Amino acid sequence: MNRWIVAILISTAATSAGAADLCSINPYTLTEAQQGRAAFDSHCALCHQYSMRGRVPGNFANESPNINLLSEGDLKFLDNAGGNVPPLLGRKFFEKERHDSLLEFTNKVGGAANTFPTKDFKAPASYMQIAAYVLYRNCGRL
Amino acid sequence: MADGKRPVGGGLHRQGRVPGNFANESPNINLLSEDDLRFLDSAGGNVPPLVGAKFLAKERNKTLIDFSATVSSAANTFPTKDFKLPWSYFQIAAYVLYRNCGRM
Repeated sequence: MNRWIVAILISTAATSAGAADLCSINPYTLTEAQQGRAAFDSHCALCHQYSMRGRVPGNFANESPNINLLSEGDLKFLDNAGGNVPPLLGRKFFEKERHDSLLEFTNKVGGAANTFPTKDFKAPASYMQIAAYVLYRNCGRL
Repeated sequence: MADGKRPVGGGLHRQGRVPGNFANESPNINLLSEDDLRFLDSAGGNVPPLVGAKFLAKERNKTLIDFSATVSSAANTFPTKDFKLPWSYFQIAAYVLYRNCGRM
């Protein structure tokens, strides 16, 4: 049976027991994660940074990409959040997420594209490609 | 379907539809909207099955994303009740997968 079919079945079964670990069941391919990177960099990264470290107020000079690249709408959103953008990478972020089901994780990470659509967005594939990229980064595979 | 939601084109058993067989298919073809019927007509009355060896043989070597896109992107044209982006896409794909893997 295909690797990902097993992964999905394990993920959904394990979720009810709260035992799944997304890094061990990751069903996404490297190519899909790389497609996710292109999507992520086209919009998500403007706020979360290419590094996925998020943004903090007053630190714009050390952040990339340049904050002036954000659209007026995105800047307004950022202002409303007090200038903070949560990181999508690192122990603090991933400790909260790693025991989500694959669907929960993908929904959470990819679902932001509803508000901030990426370039050439295709539903549903782009949601999952973005999630694949974030997962690969957090699992140290990219 | 246990939750009472009405799958139209694929039928309750995901076996699809074939022309002239409506009396043996469920749900009743009269439950389809005019638009859905028109779509069905333009496909010659055929709706492909989403379950079974023939279907899964074509799908099982796809990646998860390709499989999910294949089975759930139809919701772009035929949105389900209370559709939630992107959650509903994944749930539809999970359901088709579970059915094909004999888990439901």
